Amino acid sequence: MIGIFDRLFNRSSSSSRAQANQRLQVVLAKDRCAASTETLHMISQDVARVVRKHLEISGEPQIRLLRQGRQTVIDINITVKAR
Amino acid sequence: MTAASEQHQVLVVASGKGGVGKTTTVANVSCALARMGHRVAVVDLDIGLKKLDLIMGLENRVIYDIVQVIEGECSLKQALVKDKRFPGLYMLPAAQTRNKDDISPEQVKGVCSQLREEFEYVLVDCPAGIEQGFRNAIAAADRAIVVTNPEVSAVRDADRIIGMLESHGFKEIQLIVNRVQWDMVRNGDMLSIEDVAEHLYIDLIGVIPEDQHVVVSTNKGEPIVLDERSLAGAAFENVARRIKGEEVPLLPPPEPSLWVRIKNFGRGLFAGH
Repeated sequence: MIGIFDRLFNRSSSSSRAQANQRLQVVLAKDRCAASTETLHMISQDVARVVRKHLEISGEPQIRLLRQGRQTVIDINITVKAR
Repeated sequence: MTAASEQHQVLVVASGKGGVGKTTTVANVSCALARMGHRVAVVDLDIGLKKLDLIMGLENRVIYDIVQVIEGECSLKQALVKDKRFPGLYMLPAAQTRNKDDISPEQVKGVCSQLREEFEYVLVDCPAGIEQGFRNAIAAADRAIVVTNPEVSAVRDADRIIGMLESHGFKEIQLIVNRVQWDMVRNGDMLSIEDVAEHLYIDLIGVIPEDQHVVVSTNKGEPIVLDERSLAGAAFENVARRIKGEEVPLLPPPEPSLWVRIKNFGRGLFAGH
């Protein structure tokens, strides 16, 4: 029910509430997985090395932390080179 | 454990961050439960920084404290302070001149298992932080209530506490969002209940609006649940009912204040041009 009240009113991305939500999104994902930016970078490099053994890849792997419920998911995107 | 005490519950009220309203929650929910006729004990585990006695208006009646009970200087019965306003309500005070390291989780378990024999609800007021005081406070609890405010640092700390409670095996962890200012939420200047619940992803057991009556009742050492005019009092009463297992819907947000309506009217006029 409160959701309806919320949605009736503004949720523009410039509001301080939206900023608080965005900042929490990032900080909680980081807090929960307890990995530093450096560790995440190393993970993505390691994964990319394994993939390179079998396939040619283009560009740098992209790593992101996503939240699913109370879990953090590590999302690594590696683009395979087109033939 | 006797058959009766198996039904009895030990609840810990935690937050991580200080100043979000843990002690106010413990005081008011316990008063509400006692007013409904339950036998309730509240335990202040903020050793060295006690507040519960003051919030409940029982500071002049404290003789012994929990550390003295644990060290055998007095009995548990002697240390319990009876709240004269409600027949079934008792408080076990914290020690002011000792440290959190002076007691252990095992010792707290011992005290709480004795309390559980006699009281239907034992509410433990957990200190802020994640150190020894937190470990002591959660040691004996069956379920946990996490209090937070709609504000980034309080939500972050609540998230940490929820993670720690989960790793200690807590299955029942519920959330109170305290000090909500609906006018600010409407204007996009405060996290909404929905936002906070989405970030923390645990069940909501209460939403408490910001209410100046809380300051007044704290000044007097009186529970806000006794104040009929107070929205926060009604919200704490609802939390007590939900703890008992009653299905109580959340109170609807109050109508915008006159001032906000005037401001919005003004904005509407300018937006039209």
